[in-house]
Amino acid sequence: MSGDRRAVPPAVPGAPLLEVEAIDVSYARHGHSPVRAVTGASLTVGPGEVVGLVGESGCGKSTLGRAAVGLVAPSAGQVRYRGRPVEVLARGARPRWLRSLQMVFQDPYASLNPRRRVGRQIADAAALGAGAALDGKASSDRVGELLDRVGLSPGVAQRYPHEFSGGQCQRIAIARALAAQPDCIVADEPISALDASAQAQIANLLAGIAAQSGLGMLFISHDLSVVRKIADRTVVMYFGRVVESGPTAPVWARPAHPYTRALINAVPRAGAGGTLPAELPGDVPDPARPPAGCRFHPRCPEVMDSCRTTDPPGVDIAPGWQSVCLRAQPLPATTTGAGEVPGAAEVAGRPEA
Amino acid sequence: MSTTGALPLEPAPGLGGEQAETLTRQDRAALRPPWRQPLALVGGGIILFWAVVAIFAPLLAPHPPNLEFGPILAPPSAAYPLGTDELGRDVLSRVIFGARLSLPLAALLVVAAMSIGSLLGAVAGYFGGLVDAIFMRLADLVLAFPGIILALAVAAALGANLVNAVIAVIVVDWPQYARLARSMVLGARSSEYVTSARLLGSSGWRTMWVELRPNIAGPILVLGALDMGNAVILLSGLSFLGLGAQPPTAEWGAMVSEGVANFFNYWIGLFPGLAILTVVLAFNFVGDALRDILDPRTARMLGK
Ligand SMILES: Nc1ncnc2c1ncn2[C@@H]1O[C@H](COP(=O)(O)OP(=O)(O)OP(=O)(O)O)[C@@H](O)[C@H]1O
Ligand code: SF4
Ligand SMILES: [Mg+2]
Repeated sequence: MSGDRRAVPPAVPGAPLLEVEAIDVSYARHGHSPVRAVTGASLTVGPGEVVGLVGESGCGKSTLGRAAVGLVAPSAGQVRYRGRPVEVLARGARPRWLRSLQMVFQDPYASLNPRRRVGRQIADAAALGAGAALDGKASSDRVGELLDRVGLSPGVAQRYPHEFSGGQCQRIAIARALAAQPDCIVADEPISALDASAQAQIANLLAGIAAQSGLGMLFISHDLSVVRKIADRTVVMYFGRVVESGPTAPVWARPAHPYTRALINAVPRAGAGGTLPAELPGDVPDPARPPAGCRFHPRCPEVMDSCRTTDPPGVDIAPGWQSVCLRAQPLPATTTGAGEVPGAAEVAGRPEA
Repeated sequence: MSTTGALPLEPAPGLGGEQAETLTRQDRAALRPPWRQPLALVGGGIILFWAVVAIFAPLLAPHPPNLEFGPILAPPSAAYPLGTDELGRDVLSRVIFGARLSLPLAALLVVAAMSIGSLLGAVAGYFGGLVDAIFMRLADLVLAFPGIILALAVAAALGANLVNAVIAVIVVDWPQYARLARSMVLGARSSEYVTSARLLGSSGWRTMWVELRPNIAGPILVLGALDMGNAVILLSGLSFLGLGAQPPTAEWGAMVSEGVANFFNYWIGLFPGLAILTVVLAFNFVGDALRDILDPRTARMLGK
């Protein structure tokens, strides 16, 4: 970091890797009131942890992900990386200490420069991440190593993106992100644009990278079944808000929020489907006029009178598990699975619970 | 993390699905390449012809261009294939030496206008704001005048000689490159490969030079090819009007002007005029063929 002219904020020991704290993000629109795409959303990503972010189309997942890396500015709240506030990308180069916070995009063709050899793009990423150009041999060794790590032959470095399939391009985009030696990656629907076989491979690759190198990953997806398989924790968004977050297995086994329940029920039990938008009654409300009280109340099957007026607070179901619902109740410390909480026994049996 | 050890997601081996995506990308390859289109070939041949003439002018021309040796105003004959002018100079030799001026100067000014215009346009498109407003209003101002009128005014203000004529044409010519570069940079600026580069720590200037330049170079070069004919016309037009090459320089536009003064000795103006015509047509043929290999949206930005 010595080469960076800007002052680096002091590192905060013990701070979470990536911390999104109560952020609001609005988009200005010409001739309209601004859209509040994200409202009061919080989440954290720890080292080696895969956090799955799910929700219907338009609920603000990408906006949250882009705010997390500093591509859009929150109008309230704060994003911190290693305890330091994340700078919003402006005209100058991104500061060196932030370059280990990287992003992988949905469309693998769009995220690679069509007119540059993939090896050059990866080598540039390595040089930018290190803050110094590598000499020819070291650079090509590094490119080969990175391509190998994402399951491609080092020989493909001389090719252009259009010579690859979508899945291969996504591998190259991942290699390029890895070249910057990231500690945290935000992956915004990295598999949605791929065909079925490539989806599984890329999801496995990303999860494997997180596990092996201990980097944190925010995995944004509308494919619930993939998130269930690779995410250590799941964060559910509805209409700009985080409505439930917690360890994947118990959240899946006995979702605490009616919206999470509706999503999970919409996933066919056996099939590989489970892609949002799920078929819920009612429409997503107009972003310009959010409903009063709980934002989910016009569609909630368990709606109560108080839901129409009271904005629900977050309730701790268990440590690290929150639900933003007026009906949410903390779990008793010793749940046996009896009574009205089906699946709780399964929860207790899981290592994540 | 415990979930990442044994993943139940089974990749299906050897599926052709991934390859299928790339097939649609070959649609453009079905278009006929320029070297297989007759007009483009004719254009290329003519350009090559004039390039050879320009390079080997001293060997090809029967006489020095400014030597006043022959009969005055002799019509085309075996001795003087294109006749002689009112000072007894050989028209053929003058047309041949004229290629040494028109072609390199047109190329030079197109390269200069292209460099200046693309740089200003790319900077305007990338950084936006005040820079964009200033550069593009300037471009609009230039485009508001008919090209030859503004070039005339600039050349007249600078003084009548060939260098000033070249400068005048550059002044008139750069805005179209600025517009094209700006619109392409605007289109590419928010693309994810640019965002990725920025997240990796690429500065604005580096992003423009390394990431955007190779993506906008193609259409700009095609515009340059299309513009060559225009540059030849403007430059010889200024000489025709007496604001470019001065006598006795053998320049095509100036020679046409002499031809107008000797209206009934058609050969003095006709042959340099034909030289201009063939060069302009040739560059337009080649430029049109090159434009066709661009994607339709970009081709529309090049107009016509
Ligand atoms: N650049 C923008 N300008 C204006 N509004 C925007 C912009 N980007 C997103 N929005 C709006 O913000 C809301 C959230 O969008 P966002 O892209 O974050 O949703 P998402 O959950 O990622 O959806 P998807 O699953 O379709 O990718 C939407 O209502 C969208 O229309
Ligand atoms: S607060 Fe009320 S409306 Fe909102 S999710 Fe809970 S029960 Fe449904
Ligand atoms: Mg999105």
